[in-house]
Amino acid sequence: MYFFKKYKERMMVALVTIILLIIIGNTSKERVAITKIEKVIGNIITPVNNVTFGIGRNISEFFGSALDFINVKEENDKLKEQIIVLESKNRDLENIIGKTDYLRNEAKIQETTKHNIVQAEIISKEPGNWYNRFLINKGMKDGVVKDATIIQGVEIEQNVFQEGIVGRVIDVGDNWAKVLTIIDELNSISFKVIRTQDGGILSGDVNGTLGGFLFDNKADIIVGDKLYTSGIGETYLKDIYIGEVSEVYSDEEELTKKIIVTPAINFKKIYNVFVITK
Amino acid sequence: MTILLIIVTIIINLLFQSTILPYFAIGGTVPNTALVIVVVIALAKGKYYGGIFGIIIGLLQDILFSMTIGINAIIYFFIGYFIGFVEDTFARGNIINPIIFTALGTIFYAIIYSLFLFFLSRQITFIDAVNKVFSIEVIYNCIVAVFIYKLFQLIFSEPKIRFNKR
Repeated sequence: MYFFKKYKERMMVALVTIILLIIIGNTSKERVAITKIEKVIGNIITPVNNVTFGIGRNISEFFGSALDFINVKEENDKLKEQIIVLESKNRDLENIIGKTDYLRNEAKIQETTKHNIVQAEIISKEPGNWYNRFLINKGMKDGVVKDATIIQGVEIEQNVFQEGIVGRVIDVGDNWAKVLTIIDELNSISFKVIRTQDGGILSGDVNGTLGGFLFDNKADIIVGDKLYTSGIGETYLKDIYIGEVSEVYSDEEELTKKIIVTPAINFKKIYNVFVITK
Repeated sequence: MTILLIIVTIIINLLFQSTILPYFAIGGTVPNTALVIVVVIALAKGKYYGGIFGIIIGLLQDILFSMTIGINAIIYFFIGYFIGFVEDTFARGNIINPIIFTALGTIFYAIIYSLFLFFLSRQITFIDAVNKVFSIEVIYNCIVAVFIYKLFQLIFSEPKIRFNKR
């Protein structure tokens, strides 16, 4: 018993560490279903997150506009109030124009899509700088299933609208779902080049860039080629727009041709997405 | 009372960090307030509070946002526990302590996280890991630590009335 008393604290620390390591080991693989605890916590916190995320957006918009206002005032110290009024009006109009663009993308994609889609709002993003994941406010009740594809409307050329890929669902609760974006380090996606039908695999990394390689190392690929999902592996649906090739380089040691891709979606500025339901 | 305050802190921090804070990212980097709070509580309350608080906040963060459960919990646990050892060694109220320990904690977090990713056979190169360890996040966290330390001094301050033998 003396032994136990003397080393009680160290044994507790070791025990906690071992338990946590076991949990890590068990959960690090792809899991079929989420545990009950996760479900309960997710269900409780989702409505609260909904509210606070909205508050956060309002606060940052308020600060953004306040800073703008101060800068304009400093620069145009001698200008009359009229000009300030006009500028703020102009800003309002530009804001409306900016929103129209985004809303038009959304409306077009709802018109042209062949899939059944459900609109969802992003309610919180993963804290920290390591991963690119977020929660959305639609879950099993709205028909969202695990591995469902998440898209958003993008304008490729003038008046040509396409579905742009955002990511896929990795966990589903009753009224929430966890989404893994394509620029996340855990994610791999098989693509094809629309011009030559060459295939390959893309994956993200911890820095948030999207890179990959081609199956055929003699394939003809140039900067500016457009990439679509190929549907191989059945995780992502076929023919969804990924982005444009921004860099091509060949790796002499591994004898492969590698590319870096600019995604069509700006992941820093997304608030609404669509979920494809089957 | 302290426990109640700590639970409220955990919930507020979780909501704040995952919803409001991403809008205040500077150059794409967000300060890790959870880590800073673990450091500050460990400095103020010792290794037990530090360790337990670390586990709870880490587990919640893992369950909500990541598929692999336990990595954050284990890192926060060790940070809270080991920084708790120096609770009484240094002068209380010295603002340098939380800054230094936050910097050390952030570097420790990045190193252990990289190691975990490596051993879980995720894609991470050595250069990526070094970039993460010596990132600008260290400086952000230190700046945030000053404010959080001041705030916690207000919240957790002991009552001024004492019943000494004198």
